Amino acid sequence: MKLSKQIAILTAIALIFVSFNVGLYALVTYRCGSNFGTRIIEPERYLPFTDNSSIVKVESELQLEGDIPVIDGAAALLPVYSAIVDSVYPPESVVFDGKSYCDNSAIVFTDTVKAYKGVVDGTADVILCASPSEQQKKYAEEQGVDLVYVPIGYEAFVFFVNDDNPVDSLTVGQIRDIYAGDITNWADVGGANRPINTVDRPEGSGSQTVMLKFMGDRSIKKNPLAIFGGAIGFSFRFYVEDVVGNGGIKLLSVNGIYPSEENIRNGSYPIIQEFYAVYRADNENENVKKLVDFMLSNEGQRIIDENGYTPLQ
Amino acid sequence: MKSKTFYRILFAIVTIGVLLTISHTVYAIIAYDNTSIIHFVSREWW
Repeated sequence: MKLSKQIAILTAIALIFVSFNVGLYALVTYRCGSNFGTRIIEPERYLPFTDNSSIVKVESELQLEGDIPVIDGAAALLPVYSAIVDSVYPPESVVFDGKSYCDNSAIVFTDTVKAYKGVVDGTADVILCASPSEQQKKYAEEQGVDLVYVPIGYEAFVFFVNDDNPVDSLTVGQIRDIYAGDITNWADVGGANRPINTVDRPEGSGSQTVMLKFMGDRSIKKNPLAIFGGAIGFSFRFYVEDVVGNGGIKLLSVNGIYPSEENIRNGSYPIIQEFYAVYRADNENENVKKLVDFMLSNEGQRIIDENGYTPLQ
Repeated sequence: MKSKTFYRILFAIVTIGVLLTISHTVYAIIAYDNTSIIHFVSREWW
């Protein structure tokens, strides 16, 4: 073989590998973000006892003293439990190092999975979360722990798509069919001829648990070949709109009802979920009961209302 | 270039290329599994 032909073959093969890998890397970092977009909530935005915090503060007559309960919860509920801490906790109980809460802080910011484990293990006294997954219930049972679930507010469970997706509304039945794998193309629900990429969340996350309940006895099926299709995702309304606040997506109406604050309050939006204050039944810290009672009081319900969620009444 | 040398270079390029492709594929799977779904959906082409 001539030298020029040999060099041409080697160069062509090298170029194929280089272009494929550069393209793949560029695609992944664009779609997923360079840090994978995992830490999309900055706790400093919702820091209690600071003037520039995004939480809505409510004055309270109750001021906890003594053994201050450690509070944690779902990432989506950080504004609520941060505002509760601001109202009833002593300022010195919050220790923040500029990026995260320290080990000796009475407020912790993790996520639903870690919060449920924390309350069972005793590293958190009260957590604010959606209902537990079967795994989380089982873990509590295995540890011999009884958990008390006190409903303290409501939130809409929402579905979202890219802003440019022409579909604006789906029925409950269509959503279940999509996630069950019975509807696989947007054209079947009045959209463009493009595969539907059903995106879900990790096992044990609050929204995944709600989604599994929403599906009832039907299981979620994913089509790996639809990864470049038009995606549909789910989450909680306030988390999507205000906490994350990403542009580029839109919430879908369900059964023709848009998940606006008004439609959630008047009960017309069809998928509303309670969220709970959860604590161990054997927790002897008397401040735990005081704290949960405060969440149910007028002041506590006002905090839930003014921080973007729907109070019980 | 001798035939033996050519095949050695070819083998080296293919080996490096395959290893790079495997590592980037693993990276892509980890990224996809860990990304925020909101971020992922918002960066879609229509």
